[in-house]
Order: sequence, then structure tokens, then C-alpha cells
Amino acid sequence: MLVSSERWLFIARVFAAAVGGYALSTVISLLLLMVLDYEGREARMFTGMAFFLAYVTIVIVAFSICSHKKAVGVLLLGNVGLWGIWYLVGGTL
Amino acid sequence: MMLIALLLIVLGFVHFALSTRAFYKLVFGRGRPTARLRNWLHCVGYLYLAIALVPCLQVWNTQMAIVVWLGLLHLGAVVVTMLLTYFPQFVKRLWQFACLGRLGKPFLPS
Amino acid sequence: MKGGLRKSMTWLHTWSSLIVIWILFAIFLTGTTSFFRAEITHWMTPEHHVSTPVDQPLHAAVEYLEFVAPYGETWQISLPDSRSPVLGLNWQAEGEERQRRRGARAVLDPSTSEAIDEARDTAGGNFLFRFHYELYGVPRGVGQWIVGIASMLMFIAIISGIIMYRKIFADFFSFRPGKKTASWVDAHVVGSVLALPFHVMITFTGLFLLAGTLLFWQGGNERGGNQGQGQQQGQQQGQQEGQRQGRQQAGSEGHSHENAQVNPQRGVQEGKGQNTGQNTDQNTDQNTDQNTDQNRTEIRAETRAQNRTESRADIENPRTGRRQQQATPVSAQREPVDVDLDALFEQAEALLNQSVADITVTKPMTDGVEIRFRGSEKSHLSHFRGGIPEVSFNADGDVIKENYPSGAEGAVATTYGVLRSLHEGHFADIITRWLLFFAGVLGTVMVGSGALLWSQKRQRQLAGKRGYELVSALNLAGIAGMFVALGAYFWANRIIPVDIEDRGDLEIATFFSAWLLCLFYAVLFRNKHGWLIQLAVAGVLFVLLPVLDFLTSPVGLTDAIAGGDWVRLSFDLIALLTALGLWTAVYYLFKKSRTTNNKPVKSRAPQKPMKDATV
Repeated sequence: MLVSSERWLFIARVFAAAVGGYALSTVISLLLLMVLDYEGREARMFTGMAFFLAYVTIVIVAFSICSHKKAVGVLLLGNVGLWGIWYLVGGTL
Repeated sequence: MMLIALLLIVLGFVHFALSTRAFYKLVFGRGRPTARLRNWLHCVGYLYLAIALVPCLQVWNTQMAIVVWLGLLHLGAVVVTMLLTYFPQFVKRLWQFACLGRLGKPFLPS
Repeated sequence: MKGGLRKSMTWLHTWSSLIVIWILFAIFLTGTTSFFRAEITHWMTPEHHVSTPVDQPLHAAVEYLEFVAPYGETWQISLPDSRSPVLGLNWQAEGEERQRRRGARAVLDPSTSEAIDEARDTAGGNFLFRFHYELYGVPRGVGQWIVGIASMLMFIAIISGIIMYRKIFADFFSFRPGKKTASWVDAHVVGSVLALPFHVMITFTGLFLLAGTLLFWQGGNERGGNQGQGQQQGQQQGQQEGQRQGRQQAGSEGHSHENAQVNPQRGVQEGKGQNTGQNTDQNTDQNTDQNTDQNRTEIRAETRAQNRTESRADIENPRTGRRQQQATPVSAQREPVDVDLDALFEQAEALLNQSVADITVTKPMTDGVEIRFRGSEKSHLSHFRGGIPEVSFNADGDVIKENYPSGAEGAVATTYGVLRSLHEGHFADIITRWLLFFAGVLGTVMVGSGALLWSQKRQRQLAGKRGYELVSALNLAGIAGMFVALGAYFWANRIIPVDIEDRGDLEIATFFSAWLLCLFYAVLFRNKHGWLIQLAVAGVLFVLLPVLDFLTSPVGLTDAIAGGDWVRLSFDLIALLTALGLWTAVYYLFKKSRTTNNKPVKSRAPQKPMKDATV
């Protein structure tokens, strides 16, 4: 049981890193875009670059945290927090 | 021009190579490079690499020159690796006669 | 995963790369060959081999055009360059409407001024190029997602690899052959560390070139509904078309405006590979210009419309045939206006400060002539679309239009532009192209040795286990099989009869069936000298490629050397070098298999899982 719960936590972590990381880097690049105020084509280029840099950093961080639970928690909190800010400041998607 | 740049880069990387233990042993017979020597070698190596940018700049425009230079860095590093693997004696000669080996002996910190 | 940063990074590095490593290998290999896309296409259309470079190809072109389309609407001439030695011509005869897809065209041998027969139907280098970013046989979006995910994992693997491998400088240059795992580690390190800037650049840019697909939320963002979508489509197209950097043959601005709408289908079509794909490249390249530069498009469209009405008026003039062979009646009352093209050409090269790649002549042989010279290179690296300088003259030889694009403005656009140009190698002259190719080869080595390293390290513990056997089978099919498939593709190009239906598709089918065959072979017999046999097959295919080239091309190799067809000769040379590499591998494997037969020790060949030994 213990082994299997470990396994589930591990799967949760991979999932969190992949999907949660995607969502988190999305909102990070959106927020950055809002702060830096690029428009049109430039905005598109900027999100394109910022997103992938953010994504790779998040995944690395997600796997360097030592416990599964903590990693999943950090990603979850980060997502909730940043998406909250995003909607609070009036962003839409 | 490109060949000159490549040569400079290879020489630069030979300096870096000397700061590794294996090649140091080959050149000096024993021991290992001291931290001071290593830093010195790295500085000279970087200098060589930087100078290699000059011939590139004379052929290409600035942006292109940097790209070519970076590409040559890749090439030069692989050349040095292969030389070290298959012709270590040649690299030793290269070090002695083309780099700081003989001429620069007095300048080398021990 | 617990137990320190380094350990977790090692884990991440291993597994994030392993699950996509065979796709990555295929992407790297085909992507590396794509740096020489136009050159490969040239090799694969032996009909073009008869062409030999001359000093003044312009005369041949003009002579031919005066013959087929006197007083035409437009002439487009694309001059031979270092990537393809043929002279490409496009034209619209007098009074002819612009064609929707493609107008009349011809490919000329500049040395004889004669048209070359229509080349065989082949996808050429374009197939490899398209494969490297959207695979084949799956819907474009799906293919891009797969490639995107693979690149993302690769990016993660690179970064975690850097963190994990701290002693980068300590054994920077060491390569220890013949030492089992150590050699593979070294090969992996040499392949990755020495070209690290290139790898990071190529993966990162590869990712943001696919951003249009991967960041699906981007389309709706900031722009409402339709416009946003249109923009995104434009962007995506831009990405795909912009990447085509085939030789700019027969610049056909005339077509491009109309083609803007037909474009999506065209992209797909080209995947199937028309041999004339090169032409399409040019069209679409310019489309991209226009997608971005709306204003410019409109201006062009206007001038174009004006020209057309003028020319209609001309048609009504009475005239008699200047050259009777021509279907179009030609005016005799209109004396052809002579323009000293040579002088203009020189002037243009001086003004552009580079060699001219194409020439567009609007309303040739009249005094309303406009001659536009287009350079061959971008003037600034940061210009990722268009950015090629042009200059136009009128009949009196005065400059009437100039366009010397400056670099992109703004930090973001500049970064984006530079990185993107680097990935696509648009700017690259021959030396840079080779350097990029070389770095790509290092990347291929990195991926391949990484895959082998995995199984080598686990050989003792895991041999016989299902996962391990799967990996080794895929390694065999994905690496050795890829070379076999590539060799088979080039062979198919020369062996399949020229007049067969859907020839281009058949070539591609050969590629995949060879690959599939290798996969089956790998699954069934991987233990019995699987690597030896597949590498040997690939080696035979590649070593005989120059021979095949010699036998099936209208121009023999000796003539090619005499004629200076370096594009083709370099291809043959690279084929030989590849064969050399493959045979070296075969040699070592053979030696190892001999030694293992003599003494029942575990095989030292890292590639061969020793199932027999453990079972």
C-alpha cells in the first residue's frame, strides 16, 4: 500500500509538472506580457519565448524539490495564486 | 581568414586542454595543474578565442561574424578533442611551439 | 528521486529524453540534412545536372524569354547560385491573366541556353525538411504537437543535463575510445557539451517556431474572434513558409498576392512534393512578407492592377508578328526597347552590396519597363521574414524604387528574429551552412549516443526484461534503421522509373517501408547481429550512392567534376563519409562479435543486448 501510494504521488508529480507547469508558464507569460506591455506581433514573439523559458524552469524546479507532496503543492498553489491574480487584474483568456 | 580563425581557436582550446589533468600529465610528465596555472591558462585561452573573432569580422558583417565564430568554436573544440585522442604528441608539439610552451615559459606561473 | 539535486536531475535527464529519443534522433538527422535542402533536391533531380555555371547567365535567360514571351506581362528570372546551378524562368505572355497557381515556367541550362526537360516528380529535400517539424502521414497539427512535445522534453533534458553534469571543464576534451561505457559517456559529452550553444539554440528556437501550435491559447488572446484567428493562421503559415528556404527560383511576386488565399492547400501539396516546389517556396516566402507587411502588399497590388490595365490597352494596338512561331500575336510597330541589362545588373549589385538572386521584369521590351533586382541574402540577421534588399530601375536606367530593409526594431523582435534566422539558416552562406550542418551532426551524435548509453549502462541488470528489450529494439530501428531508410529514400529516387504515377509519394513510401522493415527486424532478430546487419546494409546503400549517381544521372561524375557541379559532388562526398562512419561501426562490431564468440564473456558491444547470455 505504501509502495503504491508512493507511486501515485509520483505520477501526480509528473502530471503536475507537465500540465501544471504548462498552465503556470502560461499565466506567467501572460502576466509578464501585461506588465511589459507589448502589442501585436511583438507580444506574440514575446510570449513564445517567455513561455518556453518559464516552462523549462518550472519543470526543473518541480523535479528538484525533494518530496512529491511538496512539489505538487507548490505547483498547485502557484497556479491558483497566479491565475487568481490574473483574473483579479482583469485578464481574460 | 576562416582558417586563421580556426587555427586561433584550436590554439586557444589547447590552452584549455592543458588545464585538464590528463593532458597536463602528458606534457609535464606528472603532477597536476595548480589553480593559479589553470586560471592563467584559461585567461590566455579566452584571449585566443577572442582574437579569433577578428578575422571573422573582416570577412562577414558583425552579426554574421559572431555566428561564424560560434560555429568555428564548435568545430575547433571537436578538432582539439579528436587530436588529443588520436594524436596527443602533435598537440604536445603544438603546445610547445605555437602556444606558451617554450616561448612563454618564463611567464608561466608554476 | 530523493537524494539531492544532482540525483533528481539525472533522473529527469534520463527519462525525459528516453521516452522520445528515437523521434528526436529522426528529427535531428532530418533537420540536419535540411540545412542542405535545396542541395539535396538538386541531387535528386538528375535532369538538372546537365546545367553548368557560366559567367553571364542573364543573356541566356533574356534570349529565351524574348523568344517565348515577347512583350510579356512579367518575366521572372532566378539566377543560378551556389545552391542550385540552374536558371529558373517564369513568365506571363502578353495579355495573359495571372495564373492562380503557376504560370508558364522553364528551367534553363545557362551554358547552352536550352530548356531542361521537366524534372522527375520528387519531394527531394523538402520531404526531409517537412518531416523534421511535422512528421509525415499524420495531420499537420498532430505532427507538430508530437515534435513540439519531443523538443520540450529535449529542452528539459539539456538543461537538466547541464545541472547534472557539473564537471564540464574537468574533462572537456577527453574522449576515450574502446572503453565500454566510458566511451559512450565521452561520445555523449563531446556531442553535447562542445556544441552546447547550438543545441540550446536549436531546441529553443524549434520550440518557439512551433509556438503557434503549442500555445493554442495565444490565438484568442488580446484580439477578438476572427481577426485574432486570421492573424494566428497567418503566423503559422509564416512559420512554415518562412522556413522554406529552398533556392529562390523564379521569383514570382505576381502570383503571390493571389496565392495568399490558396495558401493552406498549397502547403499540404508541397508536402507531397512537387518537384517544382522550389518555385512555390518563393511564392510563399513572399506571401509571408505580405501577410506581415499589409501596406506594402496593397501598394504592390495597386501598381500591379495599373500595369494590367495599361497592358490591356496595349493589346488593342494594331500589330503584326515579330516572331511568327509564337502563339501570341506580336506587334511590329512596337520596336523592342533595348535596355542594357548588364550595366543595370552591375549597378544593382553595387547598390545592393551583394549578389543578385532574382530579377523581375515588368512589361519587358517596352519603354514602361520596370526591372527589379533582388538580393540573395538578408542584410540583417534580425530580419526573419523578407529582409532581402531590392532595387528597381526604369527603362532609362534610373533607380525608381529601393528597399534596403534595416534590422528589426525593438529588443524582442530582434532577439526573435536573430534566433529564428539561426534556426532556419536563411542567412547562411556556404561556410556558415557547413558549420551549422556540423553542429547538427554533433547533435545527432549526442542523441544517438545518449540512447545507446542508456542500454549500455543497464545491460547487466536489465537484459531480458521487457522494457529493456523494447528500448534496444527501438534503438536499433531508430538509429541504424533511420540510416537504412534514408539510404533507401535516395536509392528510390534514382531507381523508380521517371514516368510512374505519384512518383514522389512512392519515394516516401520506400523510406517508410524500409524503416518499418528495420523495426520488424529489430523486434524479431535484434540479438543476432542486428546492428551489424542493419549498419552494413546502410553502409552498402550509402557507399554505392555515388556509383548510382554516376550510373543514373545524364551527366557522369567526371563531367560533373569538369563542370564544377559542387553541389552534387558534395552530396556524393557526404554519402561516402556517412558510409565510412557506418563501416567503421560495422568493423568494430564485427571484431567484437568475433571476440565474444571465442570467449563466453558478455559482449562488449554496447548495442547488443545479450539475451542469449542471460536466458
